[in-house]
Amino acid sequence: MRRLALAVVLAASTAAAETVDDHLAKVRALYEKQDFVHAREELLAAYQLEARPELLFALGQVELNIGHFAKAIDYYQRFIATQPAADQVSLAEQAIGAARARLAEKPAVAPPPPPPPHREWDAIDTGITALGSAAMVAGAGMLIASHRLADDRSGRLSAYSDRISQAELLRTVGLGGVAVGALAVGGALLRWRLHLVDAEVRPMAASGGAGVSWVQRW
Amino acid sequence: MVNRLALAAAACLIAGCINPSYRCTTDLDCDLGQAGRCELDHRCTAIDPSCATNRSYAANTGPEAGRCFDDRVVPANLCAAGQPPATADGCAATVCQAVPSCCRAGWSEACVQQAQLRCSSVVCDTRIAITASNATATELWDLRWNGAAWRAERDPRTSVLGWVAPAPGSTAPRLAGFMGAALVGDDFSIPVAGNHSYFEIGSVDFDRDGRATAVLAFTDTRAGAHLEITKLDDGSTREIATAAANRLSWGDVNQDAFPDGIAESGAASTGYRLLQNSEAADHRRDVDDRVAAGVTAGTSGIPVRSFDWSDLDADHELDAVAYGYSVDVHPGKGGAIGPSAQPRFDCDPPSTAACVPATETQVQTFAGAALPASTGNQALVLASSPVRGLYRTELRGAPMPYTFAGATCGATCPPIIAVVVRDLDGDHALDVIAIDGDLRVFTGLARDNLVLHEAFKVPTAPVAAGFTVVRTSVTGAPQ
Repeated sequence: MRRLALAVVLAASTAAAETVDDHLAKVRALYEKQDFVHAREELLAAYQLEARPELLFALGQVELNIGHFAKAIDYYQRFIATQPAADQVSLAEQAIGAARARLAEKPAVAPPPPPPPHREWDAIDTGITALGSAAMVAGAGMLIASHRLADDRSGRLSAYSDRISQAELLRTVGLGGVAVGALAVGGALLRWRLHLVDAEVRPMAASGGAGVSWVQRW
Repeated sequence: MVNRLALAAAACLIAGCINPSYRCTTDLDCDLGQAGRCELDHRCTAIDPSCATNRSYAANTGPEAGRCFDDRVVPANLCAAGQPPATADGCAATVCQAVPSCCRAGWSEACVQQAQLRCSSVVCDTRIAITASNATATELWDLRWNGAAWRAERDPRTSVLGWVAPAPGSTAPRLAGFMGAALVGDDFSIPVAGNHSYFEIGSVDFDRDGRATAVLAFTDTRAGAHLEITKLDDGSTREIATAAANRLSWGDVNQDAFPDGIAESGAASTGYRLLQNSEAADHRRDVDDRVAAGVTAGTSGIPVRSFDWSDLDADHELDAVAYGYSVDVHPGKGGAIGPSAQPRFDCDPPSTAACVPATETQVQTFAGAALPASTGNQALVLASSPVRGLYRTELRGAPMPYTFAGATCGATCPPIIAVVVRDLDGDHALDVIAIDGDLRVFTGLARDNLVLHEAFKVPTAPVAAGFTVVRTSVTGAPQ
């Protein structure tokens, strides 16, 4: 309906001065592109050259599309004041009604900012840490056992050398256990430190009751 | 300090340090490798042909594991022979430049003499153990010169008196002899076999294990002679059969790390043999006695009175000298000595020329000792018998006779039958000690141009004891 009204206005302006027509041609092009801001500039320029009543209606339409509902109502009322034809008055009043309805709507409320991401120690971290700690304890036990073996100098040299070989094996495995355990615990700490979790709490209400939903994204 | 140690221990525990350091108490503990041996430092060694001592530390014995075993020491007493070879430090370095075997094979009497000659810090007393025998008796005497006076004490032991090296780390040489069925020393008494007839006590690091080791020579009902290698620290022994063990003397021939000996074959034989220290099939040290030679021309008396080792030709190798029917010099050359004497002295006065008259030659038995000097003029002191004579002779040139001033015995004087060369007065020149059959002690000091003086009479009973065999064993301690 708005396009139709604007077409009527623009068609009625074909007899105006050349320069006004030029502006109106640009307005048509800009309007097709929905570039209402520039279209309003072209209309204002044309209106300064020649204060045609139909340009007031067109300005009302443009302001309406921009969202300047109060300005749009003002332009429509100024157009009606020029005593146009009855059908054009009717169009203008419909447009005023639409603008007022839009004006009456509540402005959009900005959604609250999401809660900041937070660190969370979870079951996986606990599991990794427990396994790592167990590996470290087992490794330390092997190291101690290897020292005890190496400190046992009883018997003959061959027996002692056998114990040293066992001690070296235990030491190697023990060191490996301690290292793997330390890496696991370190990994769990790193995971907890670097892994930020988004969380959202939504209240829920239903006919059967109410509750809270916990939504998080990894 | 304690905190640092604790920190180091904790760090070691965390890092898993293992520092194997097995300590043995007996050879049986060392059952890895060939012929395992528990050393004085309680670490095991095993055979390693790449090492001079033929041994290296076994695995897991500590930081030295894999390194060659080396028992060389800085001798606490440079005046005593029979110790392990020296490390080339201080005086020993100077000595070893002249006689390398002192730092390679063992600290022998030749090394002591070089130390007295070359080291201003070395001043020794002189101790001579005498085993004197005649047809009816054997007397043991402990004869000592303390730098000012002679003193002699009759020793209560019953047979063969000799000095053995100080215990490792100690300076005091130990007088040892047989009493009953035991080898009795100042600080040890080791049972010996009652059916062995012992006739020699020597001291040498035969096994190159750094332990105080006595080498005893004996005969029993078996053929030939035997050496008994006895460790004085624990009394352990082992026997080695040999074709020669009489008048045993230790030096070095083949320039390896082990001392070699020379000994008379005994049983009225004129032969003597080089006892080359070798390795047996079981890797224990043995003797190779295949190189033989013999003094010559005598027909009665003692075929060989003694042996000596000295670098007579200043080629830094020990030469062997046999004093007996003849005086045979066997130069050490290129790690060997040959069976031919080069030169050979005989006759009275001693000469390298053919000896006349034959009758004199046939009863001639020399005693003697090498008389080294720090530069040139290496000489021998030779004592003739049956007519008492004493000569100083260089390898080339005419012998210089000593004069026995004031001797009233004339033709009946007992011959000199033992000669010892040591520095008596601390002037770092070697002096001569000559002992006759009645145990009269004559000395000739280098500073006195070696003019002979009667210095002391061992109080034998009777005074004219008439000993025909006098074995001497010499040592000393720092003054």
